[in-house]
Amino acid sequence: MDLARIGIRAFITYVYLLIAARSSGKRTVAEATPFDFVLALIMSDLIDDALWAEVSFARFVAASGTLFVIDVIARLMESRSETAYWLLNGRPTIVLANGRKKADGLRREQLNDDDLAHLLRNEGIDRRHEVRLAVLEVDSQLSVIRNREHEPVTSRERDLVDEALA
Amino acid sequence: MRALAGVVLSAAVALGIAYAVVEVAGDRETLVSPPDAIAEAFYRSIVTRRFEPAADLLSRRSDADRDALRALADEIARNDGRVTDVAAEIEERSADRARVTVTLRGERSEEKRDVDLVWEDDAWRVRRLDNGN
Repeated sequence: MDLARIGIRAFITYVYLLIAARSSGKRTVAEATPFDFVLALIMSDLIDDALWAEVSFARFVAASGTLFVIDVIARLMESRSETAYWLLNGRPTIVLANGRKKADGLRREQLNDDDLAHLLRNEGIDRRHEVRLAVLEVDSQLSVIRNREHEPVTSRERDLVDEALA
Repeated sequence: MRALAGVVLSAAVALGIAYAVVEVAGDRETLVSPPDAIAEAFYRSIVTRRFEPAADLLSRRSDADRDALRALADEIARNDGRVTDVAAEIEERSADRARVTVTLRGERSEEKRDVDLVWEDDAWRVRRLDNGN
């Protein structure tokens, strides 16, 4: 296949996807949800077909454009309805409360003790009892609320201590 | 709603550009599948016995029916064994006709087949199948 034509096709496909993705108001990859993941998988297969001319550009636009429209409609629905949000993204899961593991939450998220310890270490925590609440969010990030006594000292608090000692 | 309008508008503009490039500028192989890609896809479908997608690539003027496609798959399997690779190369091309040579590499042997394609309904389609040589 002519290399120049592959280049032209790749360029046009890239420009279209960039414009469509920007128009749809896509969030960052770090905030990707399960729905975004499914969309990315399907889109990557469509892009492959388009780049190697297995389908015409018009068919690629029709298929990917329809997916973008579905994505925008899904996000409009989830912003208006809590049920739609849960259906499309799942629910956050409590995996640790008051230093104790929540077995049902860990089971639902298919996490074992090592996984939990790993996620906590990523937050700079090596002992569970430091945690008041740990929630696995829908984007698979762990949100941690520490016990008051284990929260990092703020610069304001440090200043107050310095003032008291002075 | 603005996002929805933006996505629909970008798709409409892209389709308009594709239409202009194909219909007005006469593109036959950049924003559409070129004849060699169609011929290759056709034979890949045949050798994997997916006759439905193969039939979709046939021209309205083709005289090949599903039985003919099945017979073609059987014949290739008899000649070459299981086909492991399909490659296509354009031999001749005009605005609305193309001739492509498809090479089928099988476990037992390799054969070349000529495929005539015609530009029909904004796409290249297989018009006539040659016997293997």
